[in-house]
Amino acid sequence: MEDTKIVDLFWNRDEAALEKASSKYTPFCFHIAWNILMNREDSEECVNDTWFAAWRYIPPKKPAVLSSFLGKITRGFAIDKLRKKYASKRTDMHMTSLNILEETQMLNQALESPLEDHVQEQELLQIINEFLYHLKEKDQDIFIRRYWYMDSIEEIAKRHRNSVSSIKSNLFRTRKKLRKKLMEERYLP
Amino acid sequence: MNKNHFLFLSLFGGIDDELVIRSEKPWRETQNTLALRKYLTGAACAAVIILLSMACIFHSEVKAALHKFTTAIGEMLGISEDISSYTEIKNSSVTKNGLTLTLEEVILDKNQLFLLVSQKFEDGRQIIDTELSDHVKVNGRKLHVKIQHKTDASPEAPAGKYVLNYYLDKDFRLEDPVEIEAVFTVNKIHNMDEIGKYRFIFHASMEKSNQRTAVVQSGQVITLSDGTPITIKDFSFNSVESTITAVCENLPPDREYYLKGKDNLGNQVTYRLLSYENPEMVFVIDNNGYLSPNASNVELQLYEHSSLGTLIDSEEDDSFMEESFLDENVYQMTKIGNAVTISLK
Repeated sequence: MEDTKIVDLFWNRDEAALEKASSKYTPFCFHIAWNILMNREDSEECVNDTWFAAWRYIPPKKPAVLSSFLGKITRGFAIDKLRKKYASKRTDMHMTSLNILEETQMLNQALESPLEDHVQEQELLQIINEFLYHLKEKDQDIFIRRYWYMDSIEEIAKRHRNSVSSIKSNLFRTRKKLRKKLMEERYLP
Repeated sequence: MNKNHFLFLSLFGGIDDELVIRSEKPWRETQNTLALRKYLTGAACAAVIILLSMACIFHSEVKAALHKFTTAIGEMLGISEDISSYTEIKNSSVTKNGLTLTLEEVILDKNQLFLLVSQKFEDGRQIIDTELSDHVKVNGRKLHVKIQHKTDASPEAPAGKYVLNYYLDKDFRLEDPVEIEAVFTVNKIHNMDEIGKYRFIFHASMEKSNQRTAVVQSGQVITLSDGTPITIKDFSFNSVESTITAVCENLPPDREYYLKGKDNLGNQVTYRLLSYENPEMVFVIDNNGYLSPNASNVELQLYEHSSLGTLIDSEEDDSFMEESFLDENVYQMTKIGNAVTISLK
């Protein structure tokens, strides 16, 4: 079923929306959750929560791109679960997530004080979007696959037919550029 | 770690839908991104050095056959001939913070400098992924134009090796011996922490490569479509490099030029314009081709790629500006002027 029709079902409070959305997007959403959590039960929970969250959000929201809308909800749930695991020092956090947390330390530092003010969250997101659009396509894809989709370095290397070390170097350089951009923007009025 | 380890990851979840969807699709390599880098030299003039980005037009693979190699640099660059006579083995090491960097080999050619650097962590220390940045000076002048190759970890080199390849423009009028200062900064890739700075000062000699470099003077002229002449000056070649120098007043800017052809033994060769400082042009042989040391002549045709496409990215620092172009017509080359035959004997 086309996405516009599924959104219409949500909009018209037709419960068939849940079945249609889940049958079309479960694999996509599950993959997102799995990459972050690497746990079947937790991932399934995030995916199931996604349909009910979508039911709450639509209306008033009317997403232009349903896949991205649903994917973001799933990702949000998965990140929340990961955060709880990290806070409770659970030992079943997998290496990719731990590595990504370490990689993004410097970016967290660049974001800390501006994010004390919620209004600035949207401004910072705009800066990040503009930064991403200005990247070369390949650099953009590598960065998003790593930090949005939470792919492992090996998966990204395979996707781009590059060596693992070149992907790591690529991410390093892009993180450095983004950190510099964020630090510069912090001091603007 | 800081107080909110998930700050960036949470915020990043809200990026534009368009970006999320683009990366959701299977990756399709676009072979049409070109990078043009201009180095700023002197008071007013810009040396235009054209670098092809990763998606090089004429090659994307290292030479297929490695018959033999006698140096690590030769192996990494895919040079199949014996270049041991060109290299100077240095093997000097600097150790800091549990990491030892060793400068293993140096090749100094008229137009290029190659450095082979390996790294090793102290016994018992965890091997981590690193990023190497460099600051290299030759006779006090900083080198800029550089390509960096890195190997993945192997049993012989668990922390990887780097070959750094620098181009020496015409302002480097080198007299033997040459003093080289190289400072390498090593960072941990995963969190960007600096491990240390490693400084090497050494001398290198061009004598070895000069002894094995043949230089042929030409004087042949290629005429561009607007009547502008390009005069071929010198043709030099050895196992490591081959260059063609030429002169052309006021070459049209922001274009790519190639000399493509064959030697008399049937080997395809391509030279690409590496630098232009009015009126001096330097073409260097592209990795895709092969000029036989037994060839007696080579016939070359000039090609121009005049439309660089849409500017999609630019980057600047103190010494250079780099622009990237999305070029839909990357394979469109226009034949320019007459072919020339250069005698190599």
